[in-house]
Amino acid sequence: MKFKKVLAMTTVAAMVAAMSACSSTNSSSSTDNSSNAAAQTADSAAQPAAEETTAQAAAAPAAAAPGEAAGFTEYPISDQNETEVEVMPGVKLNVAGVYFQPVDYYPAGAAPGAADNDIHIEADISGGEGSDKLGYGVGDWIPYLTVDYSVVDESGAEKASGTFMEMNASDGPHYGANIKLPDAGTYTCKFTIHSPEENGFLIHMGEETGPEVQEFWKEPVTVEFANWNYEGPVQQ
Amino acid sequence: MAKYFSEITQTFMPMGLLLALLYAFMSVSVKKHIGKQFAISCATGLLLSFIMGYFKDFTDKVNTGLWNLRIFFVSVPALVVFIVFALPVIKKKIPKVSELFLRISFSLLVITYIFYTMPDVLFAPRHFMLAGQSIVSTEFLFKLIGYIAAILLVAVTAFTLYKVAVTISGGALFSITASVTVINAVNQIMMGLSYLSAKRVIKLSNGLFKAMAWVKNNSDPITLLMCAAAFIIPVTVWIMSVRQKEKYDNPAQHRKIKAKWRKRRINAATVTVCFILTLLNFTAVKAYVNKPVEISPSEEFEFRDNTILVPLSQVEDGDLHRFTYTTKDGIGIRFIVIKKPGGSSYGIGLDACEICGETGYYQRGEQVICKLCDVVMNTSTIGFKGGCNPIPFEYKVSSGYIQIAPEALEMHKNRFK
Repeated sequence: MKFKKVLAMTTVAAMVAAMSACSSTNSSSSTDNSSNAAAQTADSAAQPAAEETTAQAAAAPAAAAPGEAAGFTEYPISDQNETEVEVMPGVKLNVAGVYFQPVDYYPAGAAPGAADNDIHIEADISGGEGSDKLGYGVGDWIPYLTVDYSVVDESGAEKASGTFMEMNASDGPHYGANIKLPDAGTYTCKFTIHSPEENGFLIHMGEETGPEVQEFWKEPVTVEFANWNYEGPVQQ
Repeated sequence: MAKYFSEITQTFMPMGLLLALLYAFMSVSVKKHIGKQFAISCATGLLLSFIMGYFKDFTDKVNTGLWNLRIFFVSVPALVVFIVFALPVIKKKIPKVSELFLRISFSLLVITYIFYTMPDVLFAPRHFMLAGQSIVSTEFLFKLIGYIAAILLVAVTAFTLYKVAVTISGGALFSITASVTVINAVNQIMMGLSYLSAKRVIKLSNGLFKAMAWVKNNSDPITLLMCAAAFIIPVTVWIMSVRQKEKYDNPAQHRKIKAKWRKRRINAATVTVCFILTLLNFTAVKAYVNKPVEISPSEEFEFRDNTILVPLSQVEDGDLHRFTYTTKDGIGIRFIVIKKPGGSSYGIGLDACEICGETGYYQRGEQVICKLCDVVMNTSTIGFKGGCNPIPFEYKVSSGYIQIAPEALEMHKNRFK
């Protein structure tokens, strides 16, 4: 009897001790934003500002993850998950790429839900330095964008692509989609950000009510998160 | 049915193998009250699994990755302790201490293996319902049959594997049990590293990341490797049964010996059949489940007075009809037409959506489904803008035809590569 009691108590104690040993890992996400993995490409206007803006991006905090303390962790796409892209001379947008477990939406069926998808991927796009010239507040979410995404593996094969949808979450509005990306590996994730003008977004004209710059960018800009070491589907 | 059979077998089989081998080894080497201890450990694991499954499904309070990490923090050290104290040299030197640690680590392993696997298995039927099927539908029934068949396969595999495993020598059983559990532990370590790496708690070297990615991308071969290691047991038993020369004093004893070995051969054969079914599951069944869907070919339409004309008589059967208009520069723009249920209106749109691009839609029964993301379309909203809906374009229904101006399609040609 004594032996059994010792056995039972030791078993429970060992389990509790070992499980609590790793409980602190939940609080330390997204600490390393210092690498040079993210790069801006395609848009010629954006190129000259790349080095300068990368440093600023590294210092910028990532968006708060909804419910991170509980059943939810936002994972950055590549080591540097946030960068700036210059859409027009002197006008920058902050672009952050994150992913986590696939989610369901309301209304159901409006977009692919959590079932049969591996991750939910998001582009958080907000006003950056100089965005007030277009009338956006720095840090404001930018609406009416069409944001295409593509995920390419090391061999150059496209593993996922499409267009994000606008949606809201507990941390605010963003562009996102549930996607299938079953294999762990190293990928490049690319966001192509179209002008809001394509979706009929207007700008006031004139000095009295119009912003300093009274037209949107014309050509889509591309943000690339290279060397994304993706650890595989996120468990729900 | 096949999909759920495949998925549940994949999730459940490693646990079945591990429990069968651990219990067999403990039955051979410790014996006393081990059945009771195994039953209590299983019950504890199942209770924890039920609680975890409930919280995973009904609340957002469970971070599965973190909980798995916690489980690995218990099971991997427990396995090290188990293997060390199961070594014959240690067992011989300090038998009482060895038994104590073997029992503790055995219980921890059983509980954690169950706790890791069973929450998803226990609550899988609820997910069938969440997928939109009524509990009284044929589709739900087929899914349930797939689920039950997978559980039966694993249960029979584990039970018969245990039965044959207890008949081989302790040394051989230890080696095989250690091999299978170590393969599983490597998998668990890689999963733990993957979680910590994803959270940027640790930074994996390139080599370690590649190793982790390989392990994560090859869960099927890893499970098959575990089966292959365990398969040594029924083979050994079969060979033993053929070569056995047990002595007997009378015909009754002879019959008893023959019956004993016949029973063992039946168990060995059953395990073999189960392993073959598992192999088929990971190959043929999976290939069938993941077979890409072929979309139906485009149908003919009329083209008069610079107008695309689809006769209503051609599309009034309520099925999905696909058409392709080829632009002057050779781009094929696909569009679909389906007569909506219970009315005279038609759902008309491009064979593409804003989210998945030009992937296309296919018909399964009365459902229209996106080929890329498997979303089941609400037929009544086809023709409306947004989300997974086919991208709408301008048309009119007149004089028994759906009439489309080519310009209405040409403006979408960039969507079709």
